[in-house]
Amino acid sequence: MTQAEASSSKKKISPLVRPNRRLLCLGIEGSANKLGVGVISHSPSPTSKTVTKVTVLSNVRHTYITSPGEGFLPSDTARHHRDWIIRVIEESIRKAGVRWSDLDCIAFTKGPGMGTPLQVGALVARTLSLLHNIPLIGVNHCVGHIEMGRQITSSHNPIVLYVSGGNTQVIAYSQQRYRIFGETLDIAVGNCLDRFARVIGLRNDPSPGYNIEVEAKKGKKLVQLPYGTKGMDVSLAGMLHSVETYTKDKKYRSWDKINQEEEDIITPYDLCYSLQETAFAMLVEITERAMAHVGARDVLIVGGVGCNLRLQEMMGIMASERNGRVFATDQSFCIDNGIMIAQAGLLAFRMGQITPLEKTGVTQRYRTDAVHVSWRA
Amino acid sequence: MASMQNEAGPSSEGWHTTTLRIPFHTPQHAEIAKSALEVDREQNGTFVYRELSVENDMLIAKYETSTVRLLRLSTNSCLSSLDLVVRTMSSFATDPKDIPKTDEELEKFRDEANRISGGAGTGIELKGDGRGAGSGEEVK
Repeated sequence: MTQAEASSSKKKISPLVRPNRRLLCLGIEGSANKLGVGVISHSPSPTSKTVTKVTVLSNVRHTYITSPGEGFLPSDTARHHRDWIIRVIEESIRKAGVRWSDLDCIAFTKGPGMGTPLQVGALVARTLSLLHNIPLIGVNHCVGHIEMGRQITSSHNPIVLYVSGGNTQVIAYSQQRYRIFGETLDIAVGNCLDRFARVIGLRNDPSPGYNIEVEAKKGKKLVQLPYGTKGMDVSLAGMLHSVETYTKDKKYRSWDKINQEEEDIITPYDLCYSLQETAFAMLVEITERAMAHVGARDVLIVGGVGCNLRLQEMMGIMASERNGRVFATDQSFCIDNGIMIAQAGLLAFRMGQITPLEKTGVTQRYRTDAVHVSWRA
Repeated sequence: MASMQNEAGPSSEGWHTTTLRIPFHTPQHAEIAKSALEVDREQNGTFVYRELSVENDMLIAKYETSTVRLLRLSTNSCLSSLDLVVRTMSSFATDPKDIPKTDEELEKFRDEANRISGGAGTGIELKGDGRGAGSGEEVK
């Protein structure tokens, strides 16, 4: 019996019933500095009796970008969301070509994230739901990332590495829960990169992580940084502090002070390179450990940091050594967006998991394993 | 609620009070605003007492707080939330006088929106091959 047959015989039947008509869901996401609204449809495929056709009708986003050296604060981010949300929803609805009466449900991010920006999305979702009498679905942000990644890459049962500005988790699915196998003990990897970008004065446009990725390509030297894996978990704060100390080193030359002839110096390029290599090595290690435990072969990378090509490459090397595959999405889905909330919301809706109005309050802390994943076997 | 607070928290004697009266187009809209706002609990719950009610087409928000500063903060956040609700309604509430769009009109509308700013057009089917639906268009 081949490997494929062995796994397919174990494959359980999905509890999801194929829809008998087109189902539409509007998703609103605003847990951090991105405000995203998208419309997704699940419809019965005209050619096959078992397949559900999933179509992205619109996926609109507006990002709050702060000036170099500054992060985004909750109150300013909430103001940005309040200023933009009407325009973003309008655009999304227009591009999708749907009427309010066509929508079957409205999904919004319930948590985790920053409280006040989350509230903006939830308040608008509630108002729309009451105006047009559409049921609401509160979605866990992390589950949104996972479901979108699964849908795009059609990886069946992967180990999920969820890396973003606020979260760093290695997740494995079991018994209708996304179980957290390992995670960061202090700060998230995206947070670590963003903060370092602020220290060396990189721009936040399009994103600090992307700018680090670009500069790291010019790095020549790997400086030593503390490597902090603790069993299944990682610790990143010490490494961030250490890389920050290098910027005060006698040998450090800032962007405009680099002299090509000078030898034995440390450049911001070197530090970006070293930071990425060390942090990603840790992530690859804990992911590999989770794969060995679970016996999984595939890795799915989701979250904002997931669009870093170097991380995808390193993960690819590890996976190929284990005869596995790496699934990653492009930046339209890695970075926070409304469509992933719509996707996870519509899956919950199809299983009848509707959030009653009084339970639609947002929560800053909402663990990935707190969600009952009723739509998976 | 008030009696409960007397037992648990500080005495509400000598608290500062303000009442906001916000008019809406219809009593239904005022009710919707009330229901939407009520879900979010007041931060600083022990020192801020909030009561929302509807009188005809008027939403009445009564605030009682222990300090003047809290009164400013809580009414400020209430007003910015209300502003958002009102703007959502004026943009997205259906006007009974409007004639619903036909499918053809909707299609034209959609094509126009996608032509101007480069969108997905008729939508992109996710085939599970790892490719996504464009770039997640940023609004200008």
